[in-house]
Amino acid sequence: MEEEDEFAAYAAARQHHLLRTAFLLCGDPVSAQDLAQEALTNLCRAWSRARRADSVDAYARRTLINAYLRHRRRLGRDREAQRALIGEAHARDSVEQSEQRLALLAALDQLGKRSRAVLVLRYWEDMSVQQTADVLGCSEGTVKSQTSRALVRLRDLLGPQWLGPGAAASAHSEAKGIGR
Amino acid sequence: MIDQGSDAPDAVRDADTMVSGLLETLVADYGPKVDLVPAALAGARRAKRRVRVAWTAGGALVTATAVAAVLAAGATVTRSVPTAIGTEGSAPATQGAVARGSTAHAHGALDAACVGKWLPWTDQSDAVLFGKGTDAQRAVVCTEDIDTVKTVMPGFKVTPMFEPYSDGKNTDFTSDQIAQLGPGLSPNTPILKPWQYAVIQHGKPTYFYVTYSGNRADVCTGCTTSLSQPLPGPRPGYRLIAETPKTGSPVDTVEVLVETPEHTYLGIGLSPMSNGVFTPPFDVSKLVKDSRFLAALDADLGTLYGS
Repeated sequence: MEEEDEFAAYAAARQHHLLRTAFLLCGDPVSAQDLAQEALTNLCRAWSRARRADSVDAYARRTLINAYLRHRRRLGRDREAQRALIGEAHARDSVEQSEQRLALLAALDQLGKRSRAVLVLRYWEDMSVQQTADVLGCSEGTVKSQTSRALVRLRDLLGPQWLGPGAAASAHSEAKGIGR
Repeated sequence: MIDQGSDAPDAVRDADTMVSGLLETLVADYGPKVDLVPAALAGARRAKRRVRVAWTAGGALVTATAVAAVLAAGATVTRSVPTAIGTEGSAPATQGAVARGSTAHAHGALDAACVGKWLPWTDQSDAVLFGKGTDAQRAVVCTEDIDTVKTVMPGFKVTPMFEPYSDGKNTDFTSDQIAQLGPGLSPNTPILKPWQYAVIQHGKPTYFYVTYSGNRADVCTGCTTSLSQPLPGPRPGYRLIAETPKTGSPVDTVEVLVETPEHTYLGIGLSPMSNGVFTPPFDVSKLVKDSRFLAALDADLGTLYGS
């Protein structure tokens, strides 16, 4: 019971961050909740090991990413749920801002699952190339190339007004291995 | 933001900031008022229970599938025979150092229930504690363990635990394990669980397991009663160093911690098939003090790790 209590305390403190990460991975609130729930359940099952890991947060993040990549079907296809979320959470925003958010979600949907995971880990979780490679179980070179392609793709989809000319420079530096 | 380093051009920094900002914008107000913790705890308990009872639904299926797999693959793996390892209480101390693992012992048939797809090792879950090994090596280890337990404890039936592929894939298997299992498995393919068995007496099953690690802290976290008892292993250096407290009341787990001659650690334990407490059907401490059982574990480590 002591381990369960420990897990419960950790999960209570971190579940909303996991939900936000899951939302960025899936793109809709329903799938995000399912994904975060699955990740927390698996984390609970592996808690005896997770609690002794160097970083419990890193272990939890890896559990979430594993669950996300494991799903065969693409998550984030629930447009109605997306619109409901945008409408509810951003009611005070302008129509233009809501549409921009939907456009960004749609653009993220155009990325492959791994590319999307790379972007979320690096730009939302602030992870380094090496940390991202560890979580995804791939080489650092793969992380760099996927980041590069994902940034170029996003810029193509969203236009330069969203991801200015710097995105091209960032993508170029990723491909060349410059920076973090 | 992440440090770009002094060489990173400003444009790159700006773009990174912009991407981060976009993602943060998406979730800025996303804060659902849900509590996922109770369902996570309940789900974990259900999963534990499901894995443990799975054997009852498909034992015959495991056997049939296993035999078919052997015939199809033309498997030629061999195993050690427990009776060839040593006699209770009289195993020579140097015997295991000469002949350990599957290939050094007399050859016999594999237990059909032990042949099939084994859950691959990974360092991304608790599977890390149940040891490495190929399907063939696992079949040898499983056969050895089953034969030994039956020999040491007459009256008990033993069968490996398993989980249908689709159940595991949708819950606790990691992407790494799924990749290792490979494509083309049917949803009902039983995935055998390394070093995890159902021991059955009078029709009542109990979950019996062995865990292994080079780090003492990884194994038998509930073993808080310290001991230091030399064990009659096939090689000198085996010691019983801890166990779960003996309270005399029903408990949810009984486990012992054994140190090997290589200073690695084995946790050997029993717990009920479903959540709750139980009265252990046999004494695990007594079992590990039986030289035949320890010789089997020694051979297992020889097969799986070559040590």
